[in-house]
Amino acid sequence: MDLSLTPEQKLLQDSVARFAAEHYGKRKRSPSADPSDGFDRETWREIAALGWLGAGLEERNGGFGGGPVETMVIMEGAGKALMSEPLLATMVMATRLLVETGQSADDIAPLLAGDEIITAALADRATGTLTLARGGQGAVLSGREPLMPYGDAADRFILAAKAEEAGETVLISLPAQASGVSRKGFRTLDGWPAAALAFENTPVSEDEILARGQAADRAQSIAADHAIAALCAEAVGIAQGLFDRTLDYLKQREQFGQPIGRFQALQHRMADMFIALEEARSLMIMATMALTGPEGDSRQRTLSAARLGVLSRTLHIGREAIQLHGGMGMTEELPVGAGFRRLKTLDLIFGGEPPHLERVAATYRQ
Amino acid sequence: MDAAWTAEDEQFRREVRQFCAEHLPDSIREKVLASRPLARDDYMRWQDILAKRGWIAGFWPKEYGGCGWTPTQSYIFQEETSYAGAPWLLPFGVNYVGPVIYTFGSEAQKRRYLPGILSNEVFWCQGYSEPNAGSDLARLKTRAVREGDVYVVNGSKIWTTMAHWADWIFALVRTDPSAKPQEGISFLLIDLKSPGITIEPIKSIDGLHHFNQVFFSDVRVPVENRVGEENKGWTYAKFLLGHERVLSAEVGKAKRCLERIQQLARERGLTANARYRDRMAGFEIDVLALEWTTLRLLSAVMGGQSPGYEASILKLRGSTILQAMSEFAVDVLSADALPYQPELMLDRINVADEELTGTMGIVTEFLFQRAPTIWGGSNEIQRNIIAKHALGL
Repeated sequence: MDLSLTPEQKLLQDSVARFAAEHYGKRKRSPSADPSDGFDRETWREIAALGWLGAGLEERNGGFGGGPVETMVIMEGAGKALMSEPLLATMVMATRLLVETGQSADDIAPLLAGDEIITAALADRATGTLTLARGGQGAVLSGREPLMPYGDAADRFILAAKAEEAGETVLISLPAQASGVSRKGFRTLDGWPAAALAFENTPVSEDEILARGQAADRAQSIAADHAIAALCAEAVGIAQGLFDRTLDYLKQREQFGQPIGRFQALQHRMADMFIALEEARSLMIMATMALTGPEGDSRQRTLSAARLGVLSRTLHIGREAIQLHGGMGMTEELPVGAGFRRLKTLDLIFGGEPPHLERVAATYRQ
Repeated sequence: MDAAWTAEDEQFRREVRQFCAEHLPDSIREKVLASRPLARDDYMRWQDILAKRGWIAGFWPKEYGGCGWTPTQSYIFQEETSYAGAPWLLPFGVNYVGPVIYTFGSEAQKRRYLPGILSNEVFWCQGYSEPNAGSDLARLKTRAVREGDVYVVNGSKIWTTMAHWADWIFALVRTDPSAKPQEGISFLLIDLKSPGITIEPIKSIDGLHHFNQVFFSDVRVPVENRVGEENKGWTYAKFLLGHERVLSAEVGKAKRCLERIQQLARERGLTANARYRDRMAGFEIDVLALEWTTLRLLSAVMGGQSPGYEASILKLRGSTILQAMSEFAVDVLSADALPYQPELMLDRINVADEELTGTMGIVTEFLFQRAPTIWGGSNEIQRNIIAKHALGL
């Protein structure tokens, strides 16, 4: 057992931290207050050029032979800097869906190069509203996808639709410019970009279908496993950033003639935040290690447990960070509120807490 | 990063598991699993079994009679034995005073005291706290005045766990009252049969006798019983407290406790209750977080780092989680937890199936688990340590 990073993984960690410092170091405002901060295609290309998008992929898929630990390192660093590029939706979710549906390295290459932005929904309710029906020439897609991350900027979407006749799930990769697609962009709770998509008899060709039935369900389930571990890492990174900021603030902010960090009441709250952060990091590692083991119910249960534990702890840190910053924590001048908003967003995706709690708690029915 | 245990560690785990299955007496296991009070003989019998196998001080270096276990092996041993239902391996000799003696003691002290710990023949207790010096040990007042070859000790120690069963006590005493509070303290080994020592029981919240107050009245202790230098006892004490805190995570016990609660809930038809299941999920996640935090610490220690404030995290969380679970076990019992008269348990100390006393051990555990968040440096002290040493506040 060795839970430390390899020298290569440490280099990647440094590279993420350096990039974040260069691109996000001076940012004070939250993404919602500054539209240009929402998502920038040039930054995305730089990220791709650094090799992050393929860092967690095996070589046969066009990656660099890394795995879940590399993804964890990137997501944690990105979370710490509150980077708002589509890492979770594209690097993790869309890429994993493509890999698990057997797309070739050539098919995935444009995504990994940053040339094509492909996003996939994170809300875990995508199968409800989209239907794929027989049309005049072939299949046509109709319905709504109410919350597609980066929906306005994406070049391509991966969508889960229900096939009208067979009732099975169909995973579709569709260009954003396809006919009959309309999109309306908006910001989400975290200030990040998303769009509501509507499809009206959008033609879907056979080569745009990634998988059907069990293969589609399996790909979705595995992609969700990877996304949940990545989400844990992002949350830990955000919490680390909030924690560091709050600790600095306690050392600098003076009230009643001394730094507020001298007050034991605040020291103890900070110590509890520190413990919560360490425990969240432990559960993040548990989640990442689960991805190196066999697929299935047991792995999903472990990931759900990690997700619940990480978010309860990191959200605690988020709430405390605002409280200990006082009025300043409420403003968009500091990214404290933005971190909290992103944490709460992470808490609400993939079904929110209830299905994960149900999955872990079900064991205690016996 | 690799979460797999080595083949050697897996093999060691199987050995410990099999050893417990074959050698842990059923009568003792049943009592531990039911959280019923153990007699001195129960502890000693199990420790004799371990001593015979050479496992009572496995983490000690081989040159002092241990097995030279790695930190990982020590963890596996603690996890497996406590999960199997073995009694708490009393730490006073093996974990506390033993390492202080072989690290700081003289050759004569090593020869004299270590064999008795390894053979489980000498029962030690810890004399740290005093009536006005609990977590603030620098305030301790028990005086040791040197008269030629002896120290004359006067004062008293409190919360001395199992002193009424012990043969020897290791104590912090003030040898220089004019020095700064944390200096002027020495570390003495005292034979409890020495004239001038009286031990008074203190009944605890569970109605049982774990704690004592030990009084010293002109007790003459040979100078050769002082470990290390005079007035440097604080250094040795801190070393010992580090050992104490690493031990307190008790992941194996926590896992066993989860299973025990589930068994009680099953018997009472509570498993159909969604709120019950949610609480259990929450506890399980707490235990997983504790376990993986412990594994991270182990991995760092195996990589050559020495644990510092991390031990405070394990102490604080380990004690808090077990405390909360022990209370939840009582909640699950509901009104069945109300009959509680510990003498009934002690009268029939090996009878677990009595209707009245069958679940009293769970109540005992609930009450006694208020102690671990106070002892070994209260959890507030652990927060102070973290704030100071990890956060620089």
